[in-house]
Amino acid sequence: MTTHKPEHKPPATIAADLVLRVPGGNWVITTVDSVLNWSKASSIWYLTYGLACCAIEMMCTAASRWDLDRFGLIFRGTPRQSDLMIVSGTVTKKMAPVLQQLYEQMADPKYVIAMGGCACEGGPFHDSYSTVQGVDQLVPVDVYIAGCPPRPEALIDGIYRLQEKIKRTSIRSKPR
Amino acid sequence: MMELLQKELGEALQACEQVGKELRIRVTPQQLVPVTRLCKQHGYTYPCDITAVDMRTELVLVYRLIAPDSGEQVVVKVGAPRSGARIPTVSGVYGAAEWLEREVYDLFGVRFEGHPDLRRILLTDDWEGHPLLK
Repeated sequence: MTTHKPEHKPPATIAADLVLRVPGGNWVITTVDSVLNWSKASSIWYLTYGLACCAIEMMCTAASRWDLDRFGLIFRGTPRQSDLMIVSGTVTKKMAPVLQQLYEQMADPKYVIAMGGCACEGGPFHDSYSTVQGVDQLVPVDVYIAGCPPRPEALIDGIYRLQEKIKRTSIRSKPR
Repeated sequence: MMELLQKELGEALQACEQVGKELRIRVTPQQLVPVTRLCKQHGYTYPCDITAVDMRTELVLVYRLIAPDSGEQVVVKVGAPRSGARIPTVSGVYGAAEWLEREVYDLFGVRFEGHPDLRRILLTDDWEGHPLLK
């Protein structure tokens, strides 16, 4: 009977693709940018801000079947603790000043996802008397997600794109 | 209820029709408040909806009152001119009518006389015009 030799496993690193392990040493080299961007992209807390039917998809993306918590995304109830605003639904002209105020209350760095046709460019309410024709007329938008409403997979894909965008930034670049 | 309204209103009852559990009547603006008060006294305590229809020749205001105990409904219709309409408010009878009348004012421009707080409710305050008029 042969004794089972346990396989050597490398120690779990916070982000294996970002650090350079020095051979034969007990230390690693990385950059401030990669560690900061890794932490920023992996803990996007997003504002509880449901506006219309897209909010139902957003809620179900956060719930157990798709589970946004896997990516470090959790709902926050206040803009002061939020990094991301998912504009999920139709923005009426009456809601527009509220949306702008919430965006201004969020701390930098802050990101906006326009979820669904309404938030992207008006959607089925194109040329309506009471809706804003795209949330990019009010606040800068990072990722647009098409769909009416987008499926949870599309929202998760949009969040991937946002994470890629965050990972491309540098501390040397100016905040918006 | 039909006989009661016919007896109370007489000539002022312009149209009266029973469809299933729904009693549809049409009255003059002067009779609106007495009719709704009478309905409320006879169990129609829930003002389900107040809205209006633009018939192009005139506006028709529609008040749907429900008796929760029996499920019976009374639909009161009132004619009004398309512009500058002035209709007495029923917010003194039904408190819940206050916001419903604000909505009708917002979208159709009907002014409710005696309303405590007649402001726009859905659109922004600086909106010009009334969007649901054809």
